[in-house]
Amino acid sequence: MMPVSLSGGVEPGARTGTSVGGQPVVVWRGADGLARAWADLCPHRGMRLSFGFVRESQLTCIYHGWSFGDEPDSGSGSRSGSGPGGATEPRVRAARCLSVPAHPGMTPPGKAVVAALPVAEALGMIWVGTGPGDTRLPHDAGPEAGAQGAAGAGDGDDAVHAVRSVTVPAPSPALRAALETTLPPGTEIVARAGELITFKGPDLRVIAAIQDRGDGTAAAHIVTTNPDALGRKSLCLWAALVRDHLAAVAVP
Amino acid sequence: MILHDNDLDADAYPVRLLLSLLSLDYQRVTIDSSPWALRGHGPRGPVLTDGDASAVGAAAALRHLSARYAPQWLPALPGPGDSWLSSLTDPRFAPRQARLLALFTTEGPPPGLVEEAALRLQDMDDYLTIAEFDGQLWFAGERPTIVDVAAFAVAGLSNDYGVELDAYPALRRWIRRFRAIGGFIPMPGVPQFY
Repeated sequence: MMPVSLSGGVEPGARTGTSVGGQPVVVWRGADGLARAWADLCPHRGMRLSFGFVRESQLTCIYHGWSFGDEPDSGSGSRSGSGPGGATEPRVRAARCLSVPAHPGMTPPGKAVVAALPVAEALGMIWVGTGPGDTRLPHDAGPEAGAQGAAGAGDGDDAVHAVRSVTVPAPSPALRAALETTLPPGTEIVARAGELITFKGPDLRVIAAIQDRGDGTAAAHIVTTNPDALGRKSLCLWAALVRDHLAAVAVP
Repeated sequence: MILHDNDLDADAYPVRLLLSLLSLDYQRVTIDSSPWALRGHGPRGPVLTDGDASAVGAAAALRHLSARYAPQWLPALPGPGDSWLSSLTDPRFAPRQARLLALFTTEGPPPGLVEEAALRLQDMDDYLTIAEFDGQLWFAGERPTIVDVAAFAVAGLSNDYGVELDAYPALRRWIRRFRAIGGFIPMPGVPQFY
């Protein structure tokens, strides 16, 4: 699975476009707190669903108002997790058109479906499968990480706090290399697992998850075990420095 | 009160927006402001006439309206507030130039201008990202001010020149907060539903 946002980057009622392995994806969160990720394409006229709007737990296309939501039998009422943005296991919720405003009495046709992708929330981030069968989280981000501490911290501090996301005009290997050479001040790399890089300092860990957007750009979604606002602000500046350095060398 | 403006004029939008947020009554006189602004001479909208006072341009009109009717909308943090307000309402500000050239010329923006506009949106996201850690949810303090009104007219229209806000989470959170203020109105290019 690919990290696409910090959990707080998509609030209840919000949607955004993103890119997973070059495929446009809309990520949105219903009023029920559950994040969904779908192909960013309305099956009606091909409009990007990420231009639409969320009401309750449906996403409506801005073009003709077709509203889409979970298949009624896909069990959206039950959830494992701990409130909006809390950790959830990877799962796919099949989605289809639930209403067409021009025909209020009509049952929307069964072929009016959107391609839903697996979604999980782990390490304070939203993860999206690169395809319908991809439900594999990096080992350190899996459910056992919550019990053992963030990304193998294993020292009893299992909470992570948002730093920020940065998007760079460079492919993911370049972003990974820049993060690994420009370490957060006072830290060293202690683990690499799939998309995750874990940095450890005297009393904190910093975890960067790399999103390969598949279009020559990449993003890093960064969290830390340090709850202190000042510490997180300085990590924000570190991330912006890495980003600006990459942008400067990327300019032809 | 009379506002000379144009529906498609992003310079006038913050003035209409503030008038609506403050529930002030006014008359509108439509002027051909966008082509004039493009040519870089002649009257540049908006022009606000309020009794004995008149204000030309968004920044002056926003300052006049808040000073006279709603001092709580003046920037609580004058330093960053004033600096943001002058950048955001400067006609040379890249996002505003990019929009004008994308919408009103056949050639569109010159190479590099859209990228520069995206960097200015990134500056706004960087600023709000850091401000959120201090519990500051708005551009110039703990309440929305005229700086936020001017900023919305910039960030809310980025789709006009093809830049989306996907990469700017703090800016997106701020947009949702701003749109929730009572009296919010869109303009062409700003979706009615969000």
